[in-house]
Amino acid sequence: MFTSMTPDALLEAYRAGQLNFKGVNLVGANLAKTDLIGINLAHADLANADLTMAYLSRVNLKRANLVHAQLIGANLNQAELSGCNLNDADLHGATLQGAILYDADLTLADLLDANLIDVDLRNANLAGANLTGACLRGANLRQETRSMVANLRGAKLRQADLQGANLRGADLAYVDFSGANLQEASLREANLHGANLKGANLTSALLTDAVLSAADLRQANLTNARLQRANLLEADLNYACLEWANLTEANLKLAKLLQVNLRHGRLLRADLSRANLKGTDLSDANFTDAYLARAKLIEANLTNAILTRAELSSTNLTHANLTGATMPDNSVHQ
Amino acid sequence: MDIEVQPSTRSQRILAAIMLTDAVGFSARMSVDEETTLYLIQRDLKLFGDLCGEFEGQVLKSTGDGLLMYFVSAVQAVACGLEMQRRLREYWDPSTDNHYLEHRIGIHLGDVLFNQVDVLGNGVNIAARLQNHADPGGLCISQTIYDVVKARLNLNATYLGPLKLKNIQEPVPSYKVSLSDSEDRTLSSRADSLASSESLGSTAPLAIANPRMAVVQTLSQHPERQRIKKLIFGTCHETWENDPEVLARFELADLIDILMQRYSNLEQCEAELNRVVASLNRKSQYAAIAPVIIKSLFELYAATGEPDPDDMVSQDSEDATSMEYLYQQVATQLERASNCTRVKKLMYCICYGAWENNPEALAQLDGQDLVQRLHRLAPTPRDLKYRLGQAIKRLNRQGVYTRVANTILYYCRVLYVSEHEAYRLSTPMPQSGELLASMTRIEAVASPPQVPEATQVYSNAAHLQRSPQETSVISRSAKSTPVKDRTNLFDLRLDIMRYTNPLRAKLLLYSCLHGPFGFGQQDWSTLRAQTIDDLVREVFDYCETYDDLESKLDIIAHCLGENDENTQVAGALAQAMKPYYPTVSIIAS
Repeated sequence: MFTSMTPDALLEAYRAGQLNFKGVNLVGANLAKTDLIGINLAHADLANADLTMAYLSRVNLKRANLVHAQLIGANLNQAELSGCNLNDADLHGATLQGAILYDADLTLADLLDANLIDVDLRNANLAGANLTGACLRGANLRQETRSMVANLRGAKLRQADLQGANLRGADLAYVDFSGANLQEASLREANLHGANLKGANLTSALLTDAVLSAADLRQANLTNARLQRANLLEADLNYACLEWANLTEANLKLAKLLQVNLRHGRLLRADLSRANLKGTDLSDANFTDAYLARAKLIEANLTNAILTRAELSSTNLTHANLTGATMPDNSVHQ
Repeated sequence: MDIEVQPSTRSQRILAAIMLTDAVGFSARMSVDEETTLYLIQRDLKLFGDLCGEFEGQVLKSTGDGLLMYFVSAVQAVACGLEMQRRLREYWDPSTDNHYLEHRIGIHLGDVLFNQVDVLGNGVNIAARLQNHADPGGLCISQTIYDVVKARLNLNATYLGPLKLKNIQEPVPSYKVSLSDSEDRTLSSRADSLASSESLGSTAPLAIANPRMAVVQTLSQHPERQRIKKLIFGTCHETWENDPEVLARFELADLIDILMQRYSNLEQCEAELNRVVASLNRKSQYAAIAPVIIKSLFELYAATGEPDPDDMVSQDSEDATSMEYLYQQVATQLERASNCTRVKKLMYCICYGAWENNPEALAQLDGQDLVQRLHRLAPTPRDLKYRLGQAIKRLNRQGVYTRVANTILYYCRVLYVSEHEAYRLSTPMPQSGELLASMTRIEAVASPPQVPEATQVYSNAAHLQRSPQETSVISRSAKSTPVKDRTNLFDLRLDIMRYTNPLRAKLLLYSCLHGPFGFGQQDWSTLRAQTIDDLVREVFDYCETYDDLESKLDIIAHCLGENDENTQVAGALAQAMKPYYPTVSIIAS
């Protein structure tokens, strides 16, 4: 264990057919562009090692130390990296498809444009990691221990592809998800307070009971999203698409909903007090028992909307189109 | 002032004969005997480079085991290719059989797209594909090239029929060219005749039908060739240029053409050369140079007595009338330019070698006459650019006048379009947008002159010169599969990631946009500032059609080295991006 080895000696032995290099010390070794497919480097110390563009598919790096290692463009497909320390490692453009990163430490790691398709990231710590442009389709981000509070806290996820990812209960406050793909992702009970979701794709996303207060959701696509009981206090949803979205019992107090598409939206018992809905399309939306006190609905389109028992005190309906709408007293507006 | 920098256009196109060589079985040989193979390839590529220079070509880049070159003359390109193969045979020594590499050469005439660091274009692509069809030790040339050269060179050519080349939409009719049988037989005695073939003369294996080419060749192989060029250049442009880089940008053939056009007989030309020599400090050295030039030009002046129907530079009377019309057009456009007074000042400065500030005197100048004079002084866009650059160098307000120079270059471009006419018959005219990008422009501080009417006039002119049968209509075929939405690129990125290395994909996309990646610290930080999505979007904007994309990716993959890896990446990218392009069919009307 912990025998030091020069890169040349390692390569020579590997070419001679040896595969087991468990626990070797290769701190700072230059192994850029090398071919080490299938090698066993479990428990090895590769801190600061240069593995740029190296071929490392199916390697065993279980519990290895890769702190600050250079893995730019490296091929780590199907690699075993569970419990591995990748703190501050550079994985820019690396491919890790199908790799096991269970319980790995990826804090502050740079995963810009990395391929993380089908990666096992259970219990992994991605706090402060840069996942800009990374593809996490099919990745498993589920947390098994309740003590692991926020494995993506402070991470950068601009343009990241998290379609279908399970991020239930994650602490994602202030995280940058702008332009990200969160289609069908589960963000139930997640904390997205102040998060940047500008232009994000949240089609059919599960956001029930999620905290989205003060979040930036401008131009986001929330078509068919589930937002029951979500907290959207003061959230900015200007120009977003919320067609068929379910906002039952959601808190939209003081929310900005300018020029939003909310057709067929379900807003039963939702709190829209003092929200700004100017120019918003609310045709066929359901506002049964909704609270719209002092909400601005100037120039809004409420054609065929249902406003049964809705609270409309001091609601500003100047130039709003209420053709065919069911009014709070159950009368149909002419 | 760097007059090559063109930040706004980023690239320029020229029509040229493109040659690509490739060593046969290079990788295999490398794996067996790396040292010898490396030595051989270096030796051979050096030979190619030298020969390319001798035949007035320019090496664009090395592909590792081959060179990409271009020639302004198709004849020179083919002659050069044959000479390369001929000289390679001289290296062959039966006693040491492995001391010899065979090369394939492909030549095609087409648009070459340059940016500052790289060269791209479908023409390059076709040359690369043709090369695969050449026999080891032979050439494969497109019909386009063949038609241009067949009258001038004695070729041992075999028609291969229309070749279906990978990733090239239209079949390319091609010819295989090999060294003649007689040369094969005399292989063993090559050494004896080596000396005679090197000093270019009547014993040279190439029959040089064109006296102009012969003169150019004689002069460019003269031991004092640099001084010869300087003196001819000095006579043509009335400035003395010592910078070899500047000189290298001018082809001797073009300079001789200028002399021939300007001085109708040998006596005038001689007088002018002698006048320039007399103005020099090193009179004695150049006094010996002038007679060398005169002696060569004597044959040329004698030959021009009887017009050569094949001569590409000959102009007939029909051209003269159309040129007059063009001069008038250009003059009118220039007079409408917002900076027209400065335009006139700068043109006057070039035409008369003096600076005129008097507005009345300037107003009296005939615009058409100025344009005509300018064109006579600068028969190629390159000359014009050089002259403008020289004139600006002496001015105080260089920024202002760089813009003025750009305006002049921009409007004068129509004057030079006809020079491509010789090629026109065999090569479809590029779209007017491409032509706009093809012209050189001085771009130091200035933004391009933005005068929409000019574009209009220009595209009209280009259209007039396009013969109807070449006009192709690009239409979106109605029954094609729906084009994928470019606003959502997540599935595209998924495909890229699944089928290739993300970093390599990024490097290729980046290189496609900005030229080959440099791997410096600055390059990496620029790369990190952009995601794959950002780059893909830019590439979509940059490559208007799928064919364009495929060709550019393919070329850049070859340019980046590590061919197998990068070709795979290029293929994966093209496949992934394809559904986002409309299916375009070209219907010849």
